[in-house]
Amino acid sequence: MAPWLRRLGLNGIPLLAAVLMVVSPARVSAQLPPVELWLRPVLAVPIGDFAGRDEGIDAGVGFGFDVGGSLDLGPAALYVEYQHADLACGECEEVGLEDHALDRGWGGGVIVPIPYGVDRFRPWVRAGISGHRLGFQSGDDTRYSDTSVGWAVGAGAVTDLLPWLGVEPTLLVRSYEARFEFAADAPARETRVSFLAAGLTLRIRPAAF
Amino acid sequence: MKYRFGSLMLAAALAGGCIDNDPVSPDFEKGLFSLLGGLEVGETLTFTGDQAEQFILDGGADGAQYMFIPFLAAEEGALQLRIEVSGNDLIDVLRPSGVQSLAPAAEPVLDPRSTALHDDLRARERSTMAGRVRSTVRVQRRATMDGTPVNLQVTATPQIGEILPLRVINLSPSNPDICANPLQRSGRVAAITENAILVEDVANPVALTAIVIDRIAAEYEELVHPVAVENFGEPTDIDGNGRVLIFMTSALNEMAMRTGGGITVGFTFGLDLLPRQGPTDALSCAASNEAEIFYMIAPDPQGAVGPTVSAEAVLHFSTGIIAHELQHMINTGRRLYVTPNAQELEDLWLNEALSHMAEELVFYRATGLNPARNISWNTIISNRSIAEAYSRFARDNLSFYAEYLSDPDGESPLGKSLNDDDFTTRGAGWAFLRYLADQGEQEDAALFQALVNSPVAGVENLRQALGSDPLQYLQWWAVANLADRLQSDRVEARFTQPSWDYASIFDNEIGGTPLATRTLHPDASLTLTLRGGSASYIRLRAAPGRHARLDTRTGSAPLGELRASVIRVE
Repeated sequence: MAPWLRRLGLNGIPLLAAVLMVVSPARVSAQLPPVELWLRPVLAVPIGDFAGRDEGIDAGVGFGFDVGGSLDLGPAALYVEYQHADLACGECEEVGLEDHALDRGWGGGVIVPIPYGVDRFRPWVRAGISGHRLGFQSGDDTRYSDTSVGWAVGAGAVTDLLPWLGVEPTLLVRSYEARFEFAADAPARETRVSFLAAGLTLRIRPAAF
Repeated sequence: MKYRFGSLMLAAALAGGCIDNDPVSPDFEKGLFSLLGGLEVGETLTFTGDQAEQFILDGGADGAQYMFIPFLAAEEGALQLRIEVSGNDLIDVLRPSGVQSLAPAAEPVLDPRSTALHDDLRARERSTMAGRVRSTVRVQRRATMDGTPVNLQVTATPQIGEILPLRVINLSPSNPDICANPLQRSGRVAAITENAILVEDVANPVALTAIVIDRIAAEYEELVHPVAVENFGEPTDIDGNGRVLIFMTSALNEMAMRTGGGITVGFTFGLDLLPRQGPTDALSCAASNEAEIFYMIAPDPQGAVGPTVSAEAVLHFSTGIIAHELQHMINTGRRLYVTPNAQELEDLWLNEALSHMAEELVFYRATGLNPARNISWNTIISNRSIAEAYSRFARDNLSFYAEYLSDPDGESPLGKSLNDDDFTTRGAGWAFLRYLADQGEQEDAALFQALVNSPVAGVENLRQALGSDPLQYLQWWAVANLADRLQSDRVEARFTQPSWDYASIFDNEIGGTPLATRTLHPDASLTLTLRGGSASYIRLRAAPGRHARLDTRTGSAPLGELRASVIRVE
């Protein structure tokens, strides 16, 4: 037994019983903890003008991660999330910048469970707003857009592995207008950033420990 | 524990999400700007120093056409800078040339295309006065410390019909000192108004009719004098008669016949403001009339003593010319006798620009129109009186400006030399001054008063009057010469010329814009020479889906700096 469990005065038998109890489907569905935390590696796939050359930057597939948490309020949960993605930029090298673009910022909104899941598999949808920035780099220089408010929607389905741990395939869509001000007398410029973020989320329920 | 975990995550996320932008290099910003779509049609980027040597231009989906406008920021038009412009990812431009040939004026009254006579006159005036001005200023200022008006001589107001002995400078090649051996003429007083005395040379081939005389006199009182006083200041009154003399003399007709050609229809002469016999020779000018006096060409319908000049022609141009010359007279007189610490006469280019501004101001007064109202061709032809006033007081300015636009990198508003006051220089100088008045925060009259009543001259005069860098305005004006004609609401106000709708006027007067442009072809470079205070206009087209790179290599310009602008035109 792990020393820290021993320090808590637990022995193997009641612990095993407890694990078996909490992983039973009936108990999981009946006792959703009010707070969940998660980490989500994502594959980011640009869509819309952002992926094109004319209006966008010829953005390409990239990777990123989200970390966040939610508070269950019964029929829905509120979430807040930090989101980060590093996308390819097809046009960047032509203008002397590194060949990738950085997307980062905050998101928050509502998660609504879909009441048609089966045991151990609980689908949900979510919608929210975001405050994001788009950045570019060249050598030691990095330049970010102003923070702008965008929107995000998504869906996923939780599969519980342990009472305190779940995984879920997740598909999200994020979009915002990145606005850049320039030090010279150039006018400000905006570009619409839109991409799909597909990931596998690891959920932790601290209350279940 | 869970609170600690949550706190750590929150802190990490906050650290990542709240970003301060550190300054990045200008090249970084240029690249990023182009990446995000670059310029829209009508928008302009301007750069100075090293940053003016490279631009990145977005080709958009279908290719994008730009005008690259290199500009030499130097305070003398005589300075020149050789540059070589090249680019990559360019394609052939659409409509490669914007050059239109200038048609002759539709109704030429006198078409003094050669300014040789006037140039010679001004150059000799300037060189003769250069040594005299500082001394004269010192002497006269001592004499007027009590603030009383300066009078070299007090002359009684003459009577109608009285004969006055007057002097006219002798521009004969055999007379190198124009203060020596003046021509002796006799003038008959034809009209006396509150502020002017109209005198006809008794040697004129024909006399003006009473109608013409009365109209010239009336327009002086109604148009010229009030405009001049409001915008430039009171004329001096060194002869103590409270009036200026307008001397219609065939001496000017005769001068047009001299070797070297050229004609001047009127002038004023700063040396007339000096005493004939001063304390020293340097403070004297024997040819001086010791009076505020204009010389105007006389009617000579048969060409008896010079070129053919009808009485109608004299009536047509006289008021505009008098307004023009009155500014010169006020400018010189106040620098000699009124403005504290004045040490020099105004530079020729700015002096002429102010005088052409005087003509334009008379146009506004005559028509009731105002600056900053984008006067179009339709406005001009909307009624007969506006059309006539345009023809008499404004058309020359626009015509000269058009001449400048047809050779912008060979000419300069600052003149190609200290003695350059040819039509292109005047047109450019006037248009630039009009631009400054329109763009500035102060009233037009306040700007003109500041320039005329200044102890300094030229670019430094502008700098003090504006309170900022005139070369910056000059670069913006160079952009405005093009941008004002673009049909785009993205053109910034500083790149507009709000008083005149030049495009509509040039379309109707000369069939299109006279702006001469060059073309940068793909895989080629372009070499040209910029003049101080002036710009070149280079068309180029960025390839579709590409970011074109534009490079400028320069020679050395120790007294100037390359600046550049680029504007998207299509």
